[in-house]
Amino acid sequence: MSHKPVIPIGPYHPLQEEPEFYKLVVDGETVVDVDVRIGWNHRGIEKISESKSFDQSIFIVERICGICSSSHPITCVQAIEDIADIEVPERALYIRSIIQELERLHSHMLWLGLAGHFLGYNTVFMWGWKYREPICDIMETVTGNRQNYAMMKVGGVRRDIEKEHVSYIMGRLDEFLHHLDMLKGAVLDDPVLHARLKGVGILTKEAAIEYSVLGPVARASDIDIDVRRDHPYAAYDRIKWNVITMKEGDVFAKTVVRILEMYESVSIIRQCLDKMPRGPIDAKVKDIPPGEGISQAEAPRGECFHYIKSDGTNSPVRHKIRAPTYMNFPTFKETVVGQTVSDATIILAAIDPCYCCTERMLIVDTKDNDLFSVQELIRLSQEKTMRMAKIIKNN
Amino acid sequence: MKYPKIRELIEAINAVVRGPYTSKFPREPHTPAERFRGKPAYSNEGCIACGACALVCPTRAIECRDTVTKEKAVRQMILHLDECHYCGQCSALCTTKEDTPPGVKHTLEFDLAGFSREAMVSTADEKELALCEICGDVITAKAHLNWLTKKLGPLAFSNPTLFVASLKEMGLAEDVFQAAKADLVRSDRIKVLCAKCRRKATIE
Repeated sequence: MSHKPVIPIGPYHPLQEEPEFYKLVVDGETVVDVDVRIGWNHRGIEKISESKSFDQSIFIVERICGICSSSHPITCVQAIEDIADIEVPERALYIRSIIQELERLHSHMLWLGLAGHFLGYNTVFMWGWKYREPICDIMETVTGNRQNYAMMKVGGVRRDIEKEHVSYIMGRLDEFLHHLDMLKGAVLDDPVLHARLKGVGILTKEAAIEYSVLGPVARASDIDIDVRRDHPYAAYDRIKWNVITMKEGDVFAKTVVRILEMYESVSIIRQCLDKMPRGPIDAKVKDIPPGEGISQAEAPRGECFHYIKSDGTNSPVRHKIRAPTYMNFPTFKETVVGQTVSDATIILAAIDPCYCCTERMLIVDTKDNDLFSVQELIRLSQEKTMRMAKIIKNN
Repeated sequence: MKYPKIRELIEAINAVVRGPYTSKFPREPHTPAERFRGKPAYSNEGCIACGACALVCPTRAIECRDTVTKEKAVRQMILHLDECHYCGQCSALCTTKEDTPPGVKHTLEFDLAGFSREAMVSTADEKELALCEICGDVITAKAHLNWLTKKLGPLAFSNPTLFVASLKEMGLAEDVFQAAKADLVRSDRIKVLCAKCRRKATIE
């Protein structure tokens, strides 16, 4: 391994502008081995959450990720509702679904733009980010912020969707749909993209099952899973929609799955706005009893999982978070190896890695000799200090 | 192959004719949406300095600063904008949120960058504190007691602290501060007392 050239990418990704570290071992142009290291940025979110009250911890999980800033809170509040057996009013469930789908729209749009940028197809980048704006505008009008919506609350939602908002959202969505058609055409009709993405970074169904991948990555490899359908939460079981799957498992399939999912999201939002019943948006919450609660939600990148343990006090005793990217990261071993370095960039980006979701813990592999564990680093540091001490003594 | 190029051409011409999609922000002022959560601002009339916002703030950005000296006993609510993350908890859970004006409210002000952290605060005027007549501990702001009395109406007569405090506010009772006595007597119950002293006066 040591005689082959190694291309390090990171610890700060030059394109995605987030902390991560990939080590590509190459033989000429071909990638022979890949090593992913996460844990460059420890933020201690789980620990902070344990020092806050239940109502406040929703705000810290909201800030795990700038893009899934409604997936984490909805999972967190559902876990707390699971402990206390709180029944959420119907209208609140519909509003939760709407916010979730709006978030999926803007997240997929953002990814599509980035993917276009990585491929050097900057038209898609510009269009994707330009036409993501209507969604952000809807978010600002309805929730009061483009990101970090602060909408989820234990027992319901914080703000209602008023009558004038409904027509506004419908209007902006029509506008968005028109641009989405255009963008879809720009991606699917382009022969260069077909040639560039088809057959690149294939994740077979068997491999996908073995790596237990989630979300659009799994659905692009012909695994028919979706938390929204399999473990219905919010209002997803009350409306009609389809789970998009593709057979190929390559980067192109992942792109198409995301584009088609956006159409489903638009349809879900429209149905929700139509069917939304009147009524309260908020249930009265009493004490949170001792107990454990788990919850899943389908974030734009896959299944987001929260575990909360309560001892009857006002704050969680344990709050465990697993972000979707954590499960999708290891597939690089399958997809990148054997590809060229130039393809590696888009394959690494194809799972839509969200580093800020994943970068919350330190994982050190002590078996591999060319990785430094914490102890080794300390030992090295101490040895250096001793060496320097000797030099100073001799002088 | 031809059609995609035409589509891009139409979009390109559109972009040229309509000009940039982005707004000309620094030259043209930006108006955020109605629900936008900008700088939280205290209202001097609405805020009763109860400290509820400081309790619920997830980032503990709100400071409830009590100053008790011989000359004055005042409380000031100080919101540190550099620590605030504009979640809206303070205005959503403000005690006087249903009054006009509410105690604390998000404004549409978003241009909050600056050079000194000390200047990045949003404050209310100093409110006078009600002190326990026995031990001199802080009970709460006088405005808070008055607000409670008003809210409770005739029920406030059952609580000597509220009742006597409102009498004092109207100038009907004298403001006497007594030094701590070794023993509390039953007559001490009709005084403005902190929770600790009230328990002592009632039970012991």
